[in-house]
Amino acid sequence: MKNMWKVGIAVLLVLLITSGAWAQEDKFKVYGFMDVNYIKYTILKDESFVRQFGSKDHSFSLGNVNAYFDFKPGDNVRGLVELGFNDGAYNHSGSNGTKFVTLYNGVDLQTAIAGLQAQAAGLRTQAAAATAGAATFAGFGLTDSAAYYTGLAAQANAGADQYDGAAVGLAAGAAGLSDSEAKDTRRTGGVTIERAWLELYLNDHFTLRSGKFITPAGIWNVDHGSPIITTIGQPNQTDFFPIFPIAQTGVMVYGAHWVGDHELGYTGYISTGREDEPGSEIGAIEKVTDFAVGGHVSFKNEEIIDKLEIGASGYGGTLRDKYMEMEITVDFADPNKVAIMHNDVVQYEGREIALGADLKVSHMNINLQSELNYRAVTNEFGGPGTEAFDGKETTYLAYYALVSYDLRLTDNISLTPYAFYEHIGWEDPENQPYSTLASYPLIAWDQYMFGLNFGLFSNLHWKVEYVYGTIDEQDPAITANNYSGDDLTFARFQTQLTMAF
Amino acid sequence: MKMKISNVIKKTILIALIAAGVTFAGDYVVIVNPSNGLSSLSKGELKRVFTGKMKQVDGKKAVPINFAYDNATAQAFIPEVTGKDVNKYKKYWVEQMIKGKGTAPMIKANSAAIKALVSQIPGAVGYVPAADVDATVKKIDIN
Repeated sequence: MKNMWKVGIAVLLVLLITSGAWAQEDKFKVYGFMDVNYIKYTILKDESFVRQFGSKDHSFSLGNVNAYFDFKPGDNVRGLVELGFNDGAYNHSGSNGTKFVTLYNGVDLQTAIAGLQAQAAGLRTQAAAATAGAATFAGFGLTDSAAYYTGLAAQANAGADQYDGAAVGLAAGAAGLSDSEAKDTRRTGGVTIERAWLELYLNDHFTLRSGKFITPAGIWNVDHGSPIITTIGQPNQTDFFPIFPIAQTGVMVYGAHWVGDHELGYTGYISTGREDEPGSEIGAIEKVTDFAVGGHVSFKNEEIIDKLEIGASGYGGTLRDKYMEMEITVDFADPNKVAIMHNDVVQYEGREIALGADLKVSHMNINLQSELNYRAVTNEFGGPGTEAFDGKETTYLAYYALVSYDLRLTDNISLTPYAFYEHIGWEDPENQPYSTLASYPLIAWDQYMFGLNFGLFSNLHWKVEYVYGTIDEQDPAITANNYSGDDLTFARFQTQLTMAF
Repeated sequence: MKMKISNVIKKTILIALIAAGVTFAGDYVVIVNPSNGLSSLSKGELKRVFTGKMKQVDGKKAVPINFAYDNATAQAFIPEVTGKDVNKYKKYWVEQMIKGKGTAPMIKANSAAIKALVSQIPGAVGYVPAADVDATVKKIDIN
């Protein structure tokens, strides 16, 4: 009896230790992924078109650091925010860590932006601008720099009714540009909101989601994170020339239905449309017809073979780009009398549709993933002077195939060799004069990737990859250029360490 | 005297450890909260619960609970129910997480911890060795 209290304490201690924390499911979680990349181009001529996309230096950099903030305030409600910090060329994901130099009218982009920002510093003309008379300015603001007003007066006196403030700003900036400033590398990275949405679960067949979401099209765009993508590089059709919008802001519904072991899934959405290229006006809806609609349907089964997933995607939306014009009238007799009028000016308007099919098959450790995507953009208004292209169409056709084989070396280490091929081509890019593609002397882009993916503990991967790409040039009769041979090829070796946490 | 106390305590600790944490490979039953109206789940439904595709059971939010992955019970349950070995199952949940579709089910080290959670959470679904089932949880059949 004397020892029973000791026995009781021992039992209680053991039970407490072995039972662990009896916590409910966490309502708030933070997780994410990150990757570090090394790249070295082995083919990249200075004279080539592709030179602007890469650096000839060895490049070792942090790629993605994405953090997910997952909140479940109730059983049927969930919120998710994914923030992405990207130090490389591509904001979406799969960064190759490339830094590249962008020259804008001979001036590096940072200096050009600084010049434009200087122009936006004030809203009222200085006395010296009395010589300008009446002029219309693209963009905001005025500055009191002598170079600015010299250009302003010259254009007004020449009878111009629109003043391109950017040209003078850039010229003034270029005059004082040092060699080191001109060579300054330009990251396109930063912090981005990859997605941020709230959703309401009603049942497995119907969930309502609102906010910014990754477009549910195909396979790669949805996967999007380096720990779960087999390769380092991404297909151009989901990143550099996205056939479908990478992400959209709107309302989505999704769900699934099972017939035996067959899963039939669907997603449908209405949104403000594309946000990832020139001609995209984020968040603005002028008319009801500006709304974009789209969706994805899928069939999945894991009984016929190890894994079979077939899907189809569709999207339709409006492209519009406009700026606010500030019309300023200065009274010559009394420069302090200034009248200001704001006008919206549409620079480009078009409509687009995109269609896609996707396939993912796995059996006996062999994996095949493929997508076929098509996009058509119709020019409805290309701005003054481009009326000849109104109503004309530009089309894109893209496809890729990824083949890999999973080898399990030990319980925690796997090795996946892979091969990837992608083709993306477009026809009649000149029909969208506002698009960047219209000025590119290209009509197609092919890339090949070969590599090894070492998997460690399911959430850590080391990838080693060789990429080779070729570009087809546009008919010189349409776009004059001198590109040939190696001007249109590139190759790089890259390696990536990526981890989910 | 000291020797007797030590032996008693040692034996008691050993019995408590056995009651709290022993599992047996390949022999498991699926358990739910006693308030759950279900008497059975199909294998397909159970797979969907543990892969996050079925989010409700008996009208309640489904909360699947796994044994630690290195536990023999988990190594028997996961491949048989999900069709994936444990490594592929872990990889599956990493993919779901990156895609924004949710995070892996809770993991507990032993039957006592799993039963404690299942008895507290209305929609909880877990699995334990048959010998560990008691009145705090409800056993259901798998069709």
